[in-house]
Amino acid sequence: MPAPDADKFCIHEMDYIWIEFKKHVKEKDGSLTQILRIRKSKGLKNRTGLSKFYNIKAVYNINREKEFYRAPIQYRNNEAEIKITAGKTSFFKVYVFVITETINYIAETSFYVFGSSKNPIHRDILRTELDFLPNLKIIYPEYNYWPQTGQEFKFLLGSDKVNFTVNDAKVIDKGNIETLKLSPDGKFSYIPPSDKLLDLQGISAFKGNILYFRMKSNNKITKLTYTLLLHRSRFANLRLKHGIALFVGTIIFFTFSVLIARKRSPVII
Amino acid sequence: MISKIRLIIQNISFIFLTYGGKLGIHLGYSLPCFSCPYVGGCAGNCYLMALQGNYGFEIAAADVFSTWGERALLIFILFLVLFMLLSKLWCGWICPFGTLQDWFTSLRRKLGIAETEFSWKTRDRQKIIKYILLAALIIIPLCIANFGLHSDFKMPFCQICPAKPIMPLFCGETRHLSLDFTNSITLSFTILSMVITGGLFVGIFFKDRFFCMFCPMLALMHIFSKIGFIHFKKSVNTCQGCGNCKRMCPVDIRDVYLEKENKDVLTEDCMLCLKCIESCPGDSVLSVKFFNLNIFSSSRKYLADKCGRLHGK
Amino acid sequence: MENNIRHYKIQNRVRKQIEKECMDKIESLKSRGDYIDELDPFLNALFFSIHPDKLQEKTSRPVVGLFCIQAPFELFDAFKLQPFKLCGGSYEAQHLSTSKLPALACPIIKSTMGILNSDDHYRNVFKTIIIPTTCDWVVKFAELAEYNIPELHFMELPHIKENEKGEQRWLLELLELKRFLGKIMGIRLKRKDLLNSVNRYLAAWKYFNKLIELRRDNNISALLFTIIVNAFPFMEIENWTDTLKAVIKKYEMYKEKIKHRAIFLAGAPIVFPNLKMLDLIEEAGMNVTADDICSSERIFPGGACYDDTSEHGLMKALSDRYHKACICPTYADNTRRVNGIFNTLEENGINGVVYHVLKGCHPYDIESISVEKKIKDRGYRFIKIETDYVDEDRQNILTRLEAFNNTL
Repeated sequence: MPAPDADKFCIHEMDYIWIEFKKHVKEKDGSLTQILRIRKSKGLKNRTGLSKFYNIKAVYNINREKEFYRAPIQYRNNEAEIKITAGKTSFFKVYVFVITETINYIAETSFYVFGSSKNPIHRDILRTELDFLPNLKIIYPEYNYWPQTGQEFKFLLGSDKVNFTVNDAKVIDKGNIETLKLSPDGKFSYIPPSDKLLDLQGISAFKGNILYFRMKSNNKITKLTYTLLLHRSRFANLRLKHGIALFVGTIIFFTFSVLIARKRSPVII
Repeated sequence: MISKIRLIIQNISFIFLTYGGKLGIHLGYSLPCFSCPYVGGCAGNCYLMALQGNYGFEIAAADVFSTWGERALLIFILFLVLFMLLSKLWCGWICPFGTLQDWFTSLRRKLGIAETEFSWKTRDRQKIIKYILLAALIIIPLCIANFGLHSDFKMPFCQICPAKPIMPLFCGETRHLSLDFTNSITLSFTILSMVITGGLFVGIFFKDRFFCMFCPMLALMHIFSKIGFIHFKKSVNTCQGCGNCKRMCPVDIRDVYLEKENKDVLTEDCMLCLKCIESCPGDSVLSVKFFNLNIFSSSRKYLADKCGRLHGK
Repeated sequence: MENNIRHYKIQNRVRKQIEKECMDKIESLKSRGDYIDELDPFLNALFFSIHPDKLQEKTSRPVVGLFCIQAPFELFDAFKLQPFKLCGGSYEAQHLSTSKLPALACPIIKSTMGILNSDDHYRNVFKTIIIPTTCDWVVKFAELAEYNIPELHFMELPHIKENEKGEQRWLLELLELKRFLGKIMGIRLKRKDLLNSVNRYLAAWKYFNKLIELRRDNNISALLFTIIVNAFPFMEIENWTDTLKAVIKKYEMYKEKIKHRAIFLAGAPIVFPNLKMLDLIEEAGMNVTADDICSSERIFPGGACYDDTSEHGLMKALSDRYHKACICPTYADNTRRVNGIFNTLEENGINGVVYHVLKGCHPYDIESISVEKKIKDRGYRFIKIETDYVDEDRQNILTRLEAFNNTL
């Protein structure tokens, strides 16, 4: 199910690319395909045309292993799409990047795909190193059924190969920009707020909030986005006291009803 | 003796199915009893969850003839095999929620409180409810997958099933007793769940196996009961109509008592607790068989010895 | 004055004849070769069947007259009441009632009325009389015997068993009986007392079934079996059970098969001291190893199993058992009565049924038609004997029974 109001994530004055989640498709053989769309911010569009982005590349790795695989990009109706297929339950991390002389635009995201097929999936393994990719580590909350609003996420940026300085760290949530807090342990902390629209859409509905990092190293700027796939909170709206009160109240009501009915007729209801 | 054996098996099954998951045991998604998947230590999932979900009727028409459809079919076939082996013994001997209801019944008996009786008409009217619930738990997921019904209607029966708030309490999980204020659908379902659970709680205390009278699993099993390997037979030419079977039946089946022609008396509400056979004073009038192998038959001597032991207790 | 003297003279004479009839029968039973001393308490109890005042002295409990077997014995026991079964077996007693009854009256009713008339004090012995509305004779007895009807307790017996209305109505009658007995005793029934009574009778049934098993194996003669069951209403249940245990122990030690052919006896009650039918069956070379007679194997239904130990649950168990399990021909839907006969015949290899009808007993006579047809259709032998308490037809009956035995 596509995230709503995707265009709201494009901010005029900021230039970045980001990954948008589209639908997932059930294949006939039991595998599942997640369709992603590569988006540009309006600020980036105003500067460069889409054709300049034919050198856009996409790779992914599976289950946090070291190998990278090429993700073919398909262009349809001025949209760039990536399809990731999984035959069995797999965790994917996708990287989309455009390297220019002055700025590296990188978009990342990660997600599970619950495939159910015995057929092997052909993947194109990448033989080259990707040293320019910063290492974005996400620390998920302790109870993590899937990422939800209301839970605290922490982000740690670093790289084994290159020294980065983080100049800017923001989160973009449907046009609202918020600066990410840096906690004393050097990690960025973010608690996605509850989203009423998401709450109305159903248990499987999601949205992708964008984490934007502007980094500098050796006179090169890297603009990194991470699309945090969020579902509505499973627990934030639960009210135990209300439930127990209703439960006990119902028991009392029905107990009296039954006792009265039994009093009226000792034999039968 | 049969009732003692049954009590032991019920209690062992309860512990196994409620806590076995903590030892890493999982018997799959096809169990023909209320082994609630919401319980942290669940050792196997109740088939109704699969039936309402992705491995059942929450399937788009386009996916029916694909691996997804095959997976749903396999899980159903496994359910059928498990059902055929033990038939309604799953209900009377293994189901943890059934066992919980029997504990409530024991408590009521210890307190000397009379069981509530329903008239024959009321009892007959109640029978349709389980089929309505079964139909709802098939139609609603189909509508979600094919006609765009809101996904918060997912698992419609699980959302109102009384096992969902109650059984997880045995693993310390109270979450399912909450009202969910996320949106109007979740709120409605959780309100309905609490009201139904509260009502059934009272019903279960005052009436033996009250929930079983409305259980959609029983309805599903009844549809396939003819192909089960367990048979419940009556020798209609030797029954004198004393009515003990009707009186001892926890779900008030009167068909076994009244039946005068048809030898097969495994009726829709029967859960093969075998109390009727235990209480029948006619020799071999009621029998339960595995194919043609006799498992247990009524016997006057058995009943007399069993009753005789009550004196002095 | 003269009439009174004459009345007392006749009364005294008949009372002595009744006692002699009873004592003669006791003596003839005691002189049997297969008689065992353990049966003495039963014979002693049977003496009370003609002396309700002595029964009251013996049991130290108030005595309540009781017709038929639909009112639960357990309930009387729970209220510490002693029922006195109003089923007379004395031929001599009929001399005190024949003039007050129609010509073709039920012999049991004639005998019962005679026994009650044999001593004017007997009417004051009973705290009350409980009358389930079974057959016409029972229903009209109180009027014929000139009792004050409002003081008695009638229980309207639903004559249809297999419907909800019948089930509920009998339960309501039992609840009303419980209330009535509580009122006359001035006590409120406690659940524990009722539970203990039910359990005592269940224990008794357990041993009764052992006795029946011995009987089915043709180890005990019908006459001695009948002593035990006929004594049942005149003994406290624990006393009866303990005595029965001793009898069973003796029989189990010396298991000796009776050489007479086993047969099934159905039909109207056979009540001490009128054991004519059993005498004649024995003389004809047969032994009754199974029956469905209300004064014999059906004297109490037993098997009032329960799982609901509340007072309501126990009353329901009694109501069900004493109503549905009763196969008296007074019921309109009694078609499954023969199934019990078939079960017993098949399980025990018996192939002959003797159907006993008392002259004047309409229900058993009417039902004999359908029972005969069903039994003969199944391939079993059947004979219907219609008689009453007189001795004149003994030879005729014996000849017929001997011929019947030869056909088996």
